[in-house]
Amino acid sequence: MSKLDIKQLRKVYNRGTDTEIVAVDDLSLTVDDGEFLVFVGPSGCGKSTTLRSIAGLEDVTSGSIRIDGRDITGQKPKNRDIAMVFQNYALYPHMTTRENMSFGLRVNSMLDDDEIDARVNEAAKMMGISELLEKRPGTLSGGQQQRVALGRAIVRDPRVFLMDEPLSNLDAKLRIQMRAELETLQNKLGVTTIYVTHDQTEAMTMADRIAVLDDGKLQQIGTPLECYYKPANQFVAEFIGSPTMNFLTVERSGNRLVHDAFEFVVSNDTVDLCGDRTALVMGLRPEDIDLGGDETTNAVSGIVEVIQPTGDDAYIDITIGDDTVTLDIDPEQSVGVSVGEEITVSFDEEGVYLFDPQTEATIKTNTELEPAGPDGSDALDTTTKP
Amino acid sequence: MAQETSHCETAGDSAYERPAPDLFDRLEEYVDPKWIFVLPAVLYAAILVVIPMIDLFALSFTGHSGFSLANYEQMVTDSNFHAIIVNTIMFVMPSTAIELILGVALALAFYRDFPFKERVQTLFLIPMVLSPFAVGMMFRWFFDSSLGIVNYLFGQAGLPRFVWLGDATLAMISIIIADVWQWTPFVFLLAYATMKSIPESIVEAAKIDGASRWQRFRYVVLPHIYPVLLITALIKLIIAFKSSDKIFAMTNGGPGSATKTMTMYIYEITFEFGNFERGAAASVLFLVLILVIGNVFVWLLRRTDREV
Amino acid sequence: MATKQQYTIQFRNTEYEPEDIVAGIGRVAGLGVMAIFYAFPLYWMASRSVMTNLQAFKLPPVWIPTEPTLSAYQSILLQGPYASFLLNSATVTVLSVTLALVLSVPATYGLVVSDFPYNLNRHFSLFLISLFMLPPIVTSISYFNLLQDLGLYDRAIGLGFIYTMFNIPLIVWFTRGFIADIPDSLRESALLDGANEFQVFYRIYLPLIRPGIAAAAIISYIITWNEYLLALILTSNRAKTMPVGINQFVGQYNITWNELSAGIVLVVLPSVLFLTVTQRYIVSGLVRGAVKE
Repeated sequence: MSKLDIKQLRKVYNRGTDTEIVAVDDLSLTVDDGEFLVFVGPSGCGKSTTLRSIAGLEDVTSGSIRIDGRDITGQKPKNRDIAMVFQNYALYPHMTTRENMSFGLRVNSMLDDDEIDARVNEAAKMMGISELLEKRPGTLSGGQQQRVALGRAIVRDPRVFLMDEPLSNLDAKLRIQMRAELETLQNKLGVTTIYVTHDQTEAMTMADRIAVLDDGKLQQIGTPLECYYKPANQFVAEFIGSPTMNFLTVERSGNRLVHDAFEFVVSNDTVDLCGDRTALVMGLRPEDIDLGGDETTNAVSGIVEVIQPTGDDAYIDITIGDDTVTLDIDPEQSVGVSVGEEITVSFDEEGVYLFDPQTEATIKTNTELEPAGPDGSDALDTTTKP
Repeated sequence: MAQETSHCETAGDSAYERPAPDLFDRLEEYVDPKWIFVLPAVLYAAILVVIPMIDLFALSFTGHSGFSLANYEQMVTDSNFHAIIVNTIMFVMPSTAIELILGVALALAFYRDFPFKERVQTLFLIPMVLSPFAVGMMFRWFFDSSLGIVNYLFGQAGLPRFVWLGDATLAMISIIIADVWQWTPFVFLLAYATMKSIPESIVEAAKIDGASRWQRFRYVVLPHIYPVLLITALIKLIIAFKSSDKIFAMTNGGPGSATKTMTMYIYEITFEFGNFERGAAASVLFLVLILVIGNVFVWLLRRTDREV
Repeated sequence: MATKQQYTIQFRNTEYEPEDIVAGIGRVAGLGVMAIFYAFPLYWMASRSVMTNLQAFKLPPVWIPTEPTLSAYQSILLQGPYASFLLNSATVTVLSVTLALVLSVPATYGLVVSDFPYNLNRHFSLFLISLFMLPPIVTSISYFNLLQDLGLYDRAIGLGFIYTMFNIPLIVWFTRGFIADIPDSLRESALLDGANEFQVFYRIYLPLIRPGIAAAAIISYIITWNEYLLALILTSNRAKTMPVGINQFVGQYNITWNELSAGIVLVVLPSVLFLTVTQRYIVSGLVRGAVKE
């Protein structure tokens, strides 16, 4: 039931005498009531620090954090009414599941034992761990411990859930299952949730909105599809999507984008977007490149280096000039292709992204699909594949 | 403070009623709890160490008429005092060295299983927990020239009988034997536990590579236990420097002053001769000696840390 | 390699090389000698303590007590002052170990989990642990004066307060590793659950580091129980502890050997019993303390 406001948050660590490490740099964002926001970024990008600042486990250097307008920036964790699920679950090893789940209510509520028991039973039922209530964490499997940790957070009925890579200690199969369960749970409870992960697939599949962080700075905040189709810059374009986007350095000469190994003709609309810039970085999503194509119109040839069939997809690495480009195609299409062979590939102008090589800002995004369009879900599908 | 008001605010908005802050909650508002955890112990130790130290220094520089270096001068030029330092080192160094070698050997013997290993291990650990003074009394009896079992067994074996505790060298040897009996288990325990923590795959790999017994010990086991051995040696050295109970019991420093160590020397001039000033000066020198040795070991340890 | 093979000996389906056999015999012989070296003094004291005084010091020795008697124990426990020595030892030990635990365990916790300004984590830790290096004789003059001034000279309480100081480094040293092994997230989780720092300490950490506390307590107990020098200096009669008391068996002209043996057995018996019961704790505590620098 809560809205979270972060304004100009800054966190600086002082290492030694003169070295400063800026972990979070001027971060401002708003998490709406009931929203599932995912912080995603490479390790060291400041996502965990931000989460821990919200929890009150780190002192912030400057800026403010508000829940429903109430400033909680300098408060103790216990007064923030926030629950957190840790990567290692942080279950108390000497307490049973029931004791773990009731600990918060026992130390910080006026509820009597019966009420506490009732709440614990209800949360346990919701998480499907009723039969584990009298067991200790050491006797539970990773997945069960994960549920207990979630149950412990639910019992407290907090304003905000914080989750720090909660699924990364699970095996691949369980992780996918828990992803769906977590999403359902969050929808049902409607608790404002901030989720931290380094895994863009997790971010894409679970988030209402994604906040992409790098180097302590917010790169982009938006729905998963916005981040995928309309990346704010080259970093987001590279980070979101799997396999990652291919980048090729090109020179623009009139309507032609000239690469060492090929030329690509673009429309006047695209030329307008470029302004007077001539040096460009061309971005191509692996799934936007097709096999074959007419030699005369915007087709490119390359040598096949590696073929990786994944089952429902096939990734093919080809070299074009000095660059390696990855293709994501249907497996049946890859049947005739062999390593060392020269093949022709093609792509549409709509699927071409362009970036400024200096600022890394986006010049042109995918113009084929509207993020909310009917094809959107289809495009999203490719990213969920392991 | 702001926190007080916001606490109430939270309680009002929360899904359930919050308890009123208890004593510790209130305490937290005024003092960071970490100080409450740490300061009592630090202050307790500071009062019982820092004040005595200041006392000690002041005392050590006190002569018949105010400030004086006489106590130190006397000590530095006193050949008796030199002999005491030599005695201390002649006790501490050989005993520690023998204990290290025997302790590691014992740990090696324990490395592979044998029947009743647990029981035998307990037997080897017992001396460590015994009162050093009591151990001293035991060995005094064993080494007694007429009633001691050692001389009896020597006689039975046709060997000459000695006045163990009445001869300067033999007395020190007897004391070292008693100390080895008591402290080898300590080295053994730490060496053995560390050896057991060596991943089996490394030893196996060395075996497959054709390393001999000695090579396996020298290049696999020893480097692994070396840091712990250093720490063990340091602890044992400090214990040996500090302790005097066993010597009190066995020889009381005799014959003459042949087995008198620093602690006994300070005890004697302070509490038997009542010369507190000289006792204080000797104490300061003793402290310097221990600090030097401690620092040498810390330096050694740092160096191995960097190499590993 | 091939030539070596010829000399191997087959025994129960395993091949042994001569080197193995020599090492094996050496190992067994070494262990045997060491076992006798360690067992004999213990056996000697225990067996002498159940003999008459004449039997106890007789040479050639009475190897096995044929008519065991508890007369030595009887006489020292009922007639001599040794019962009060034992009681003093117990009082001093319990007081100092308890007080040292109450002071040191929270301090160690605070130093491990919190950040102090000015690098105080390091300075405080180093200060507390390096107290171990302090030879008691050095500060004993001050303690002697201090206890005289406070009227605690020759009192078990006074000696207990002093021993507490010497137990602090041991407890800090032995519990550090155990506390550091507990993941920070447990503490953070409890703080978010609404616990205050004190609740985190006694509801989360204390139960989890019990083995470490046990090890530290046992080791402190052993060292305190056996301490001789400070007891000698800081008590005279009333608060005399057992290790000092043993000296009284050694009279000027004659020693009652069976009573001396019984006295030694009495002073070491609690420690030996403790060891056999808690060996595992001591071993793990010692090792963890030492390995964790």
